[in-house]
Amino acid sequence: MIHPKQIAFIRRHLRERGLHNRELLEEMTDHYLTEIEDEMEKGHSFEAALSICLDLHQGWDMKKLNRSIFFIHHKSKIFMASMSVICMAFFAYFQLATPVEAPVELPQITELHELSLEIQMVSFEPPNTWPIKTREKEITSAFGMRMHPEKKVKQHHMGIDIRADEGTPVYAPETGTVLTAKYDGKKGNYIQIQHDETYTTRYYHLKSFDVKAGDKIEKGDKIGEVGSTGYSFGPHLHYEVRKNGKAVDPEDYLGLQ
Amino acid sequence: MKSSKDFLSGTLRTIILALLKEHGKMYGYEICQLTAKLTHEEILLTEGAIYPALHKMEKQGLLVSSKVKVNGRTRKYYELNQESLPEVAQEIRLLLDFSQHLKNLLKPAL
Repeated sequence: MIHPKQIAFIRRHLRERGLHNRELLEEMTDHYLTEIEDEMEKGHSFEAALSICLDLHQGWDMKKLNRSIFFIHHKSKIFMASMSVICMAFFAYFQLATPVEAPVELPQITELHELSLEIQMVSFEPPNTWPIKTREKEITSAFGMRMHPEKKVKQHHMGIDIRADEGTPVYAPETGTVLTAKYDGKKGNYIQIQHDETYTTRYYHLKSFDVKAGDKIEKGDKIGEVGSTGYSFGPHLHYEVRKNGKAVDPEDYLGLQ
Repeated sequence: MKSSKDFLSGTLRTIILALLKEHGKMYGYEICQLTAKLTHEEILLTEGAIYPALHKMEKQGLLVSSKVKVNGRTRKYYELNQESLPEVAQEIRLLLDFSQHLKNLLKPAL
């Protein structure tokens, strides 16, 4: 029976020889170990069997093997990538050349216009301004795994806590529609805003609301005031950004300003 | 001079397919071992040859793979995709015919 440490040793050995494809690494680890087991059955110790096996495979260029496997799995992707580069080059040329040669009414232009509109839609800005305008912004608890300050257990923190005095205005970081503005035992008075198909933001522990569910809001509109309602120990704003419903680190977006 | 390794390149795929057709589920090392045994160590398949061939055929849909935990590690088994069976049988037949023609061509010269 082979020890897990010996398995780990083989895996490391292969990786050091340039084998990085995870699937192939598992396959080769099994290949080597089965061979070692066969040698051990002949009466060799693990060490002796290992050296027989390594000698046997010495000449093999793992980097080359890794490359050929990579190419097999990604050939279509590489092909698609190069095709899309060619297409983009074609479009760029087309876009530059058409206005000179043809009147604006041509259907191609409309298509291009639609395409550029589509690109604009896709590149809609995520909420990337601070919901609080105080000069000093202190994040008292960051996004991610943390020791809960009160419960003293490890938890995933879905947003950031920003220190602010009670009554500090909270502003919408981006245009959107208010989905929720109500009280919850844990979240306190909280607001949820839908910005586009992808992004929503949440604001917890508010003292008061300036909006109600269904309201259309502009970037920079005041939506409420910082408080300490719900499961909170002192005034602060818990701010969350969700991308397709999944919490992401708001600081990644705040850095985009 | 050319060695058996040089003759292998065009036939490796068919050899693997034939072994899998005959023996069902097999993993990489097993295919190498069985080939060595059946050819009295004349044809030795190396990992550099066999794994790219297996991965390629899996990608093409000729083979399907499954994974099994064995002694603390994962073993990847390959088997023929049942849908490609007629195609595989035809390929084996073609190579067998080809080797017969080779024999007819080469034998008189020895």
